[in-house]
Amino acid sequence: MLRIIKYFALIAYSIFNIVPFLWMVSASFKRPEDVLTIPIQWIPPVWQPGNYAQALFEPRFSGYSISSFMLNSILVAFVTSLLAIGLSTFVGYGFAKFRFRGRDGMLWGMLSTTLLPFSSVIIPLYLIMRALGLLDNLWALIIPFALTGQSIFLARQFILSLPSELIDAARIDGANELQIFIQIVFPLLGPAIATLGILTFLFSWSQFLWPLVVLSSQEHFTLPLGLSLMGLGSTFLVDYHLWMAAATIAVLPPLVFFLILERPYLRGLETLSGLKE
Amino acid sequence: MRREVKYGLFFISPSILFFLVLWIVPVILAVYYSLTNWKVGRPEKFIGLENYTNLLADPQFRQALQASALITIVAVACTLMLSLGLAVLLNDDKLRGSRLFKTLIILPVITDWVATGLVWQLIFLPYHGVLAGIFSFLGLRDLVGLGWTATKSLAPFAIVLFIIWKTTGLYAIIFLAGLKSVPQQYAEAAIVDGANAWQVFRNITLPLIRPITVFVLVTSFVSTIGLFEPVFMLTGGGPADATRVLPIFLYENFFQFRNGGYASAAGVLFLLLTLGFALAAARRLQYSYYE
Repeated sequence: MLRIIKYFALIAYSIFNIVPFLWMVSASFKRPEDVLTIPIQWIPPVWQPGNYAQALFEPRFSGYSISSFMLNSILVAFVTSLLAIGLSTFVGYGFAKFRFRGRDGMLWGMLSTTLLPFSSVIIPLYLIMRALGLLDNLWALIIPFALTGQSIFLARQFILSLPSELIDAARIDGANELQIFIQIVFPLLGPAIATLGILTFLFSWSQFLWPLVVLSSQEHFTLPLGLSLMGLGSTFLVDYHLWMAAATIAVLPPLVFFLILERPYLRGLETLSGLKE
Repeated sequence: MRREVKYGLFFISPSILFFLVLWIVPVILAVYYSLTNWKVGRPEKFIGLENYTNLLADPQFRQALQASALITIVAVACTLMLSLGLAVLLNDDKLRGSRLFKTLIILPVITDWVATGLVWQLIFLPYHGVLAGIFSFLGLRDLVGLGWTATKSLAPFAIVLFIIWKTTGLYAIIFLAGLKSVPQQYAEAAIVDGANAWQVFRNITLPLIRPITVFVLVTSFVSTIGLFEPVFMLTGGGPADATRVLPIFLYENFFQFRNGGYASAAGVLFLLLTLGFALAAARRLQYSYYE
């Protein structure tokens, strides 16, 4: 009896989680007049896969289309992830394997930034980007997220578990410190790299407020900005099928990445919550 | 020993630069501008604490505090309980399909607020939306026309529902990892002594996962109070300011009304408010981080 209740609760919550996605995918294949019907038609009465091509390539945003926003998003997410991998392991190595005064205090200071909402500092951060000449530039979306308190902490935790003897042996062999990091430490960080990569990619992909603040020309817009234009612009009821096709397109890359890197992702969550060394 | 210091600082130097440019300088700038009458495009003049006294007397700011408090407290409380409940259900080695359940539960977490926000806009649409369709299917005709995002009393809860849907999976997975890390012998001993499942959970499991609970509480509080996207996507702050939360208030005052000094003061208060809460729990959080 208890087991039945257990399965019932889990299935009920799973349905709650999945129904918006099912409805989205179903609507993305519909004709406009079939989208908002009562009763809901879960199977499109007439399949219209051409919605996807229209949503992707129609240049409805002053000459730009969802596909160009998507390319910007992919570019930003990839470059941010690569930088996060390189920078966080570099810094994490310093925090994990060297002993100096003020080290733990600095690490704690950087970690404490994770306790502050990003949206509370957007105004001064905007001024800094303006001073650096990065407004309306994709680098403004990359730099603030290329090294964060979380990514430093993640890399540090992984590197702590590497044996220090390995590093000492390389020193005795005459390798310099940079060589040791690049040739000995970094190649051993496969799991950390996968974790940093997936977490940073998903984080960067979902950014919305910050691009909204720093970008002004549609040439540079990322996918979430484009999607929000679809939702808020001069839309008519007839366009909902295209919204849903665009939303489905936006959900696919993170989903594919997640399915490939599910284990590193979960390991990352465990490390961040302090559960794992 | 000198080498340790030299190379340690060499390796962490990028983080010092990032930390200074992206956190220390912005906070100093925010405090500075909050003490001026700066309007974007005009030179600023020092006016002391006037922005702060004006803010505390501004009914719109009070409304923003209230909306943020309502949405954050309800969303965090529901998310915390739901995610812990799901984790307890999933923490069962004999459970069939646990991998599938886990993937389904985490699905909203890995997607973005805007794409899913478009879907939730249509879910909440009166008469034609998905909820209306479900109510109609259940025969609840009175509820079909509810304006979820257009009614003052309902809009905050529409946003709360969206937030719960989007974030619960994340914390359920973290709680699950926490439950799996708890040593089993205490629970087994208690069961031998005749304790029932609820007593074991209440008196043994809950105290053991306390650091995780604090982590989830603090993390979900900070991220929920900072959320801009769900409100922007569903209501834009309306109806009648009912959902104009702090991030929306800040954004509008700076990027639309151009009140740089005033918005900076609101940002500083927002920061202090969150920091105050976080620090209240920080000692315990630090313990869970550094263990």
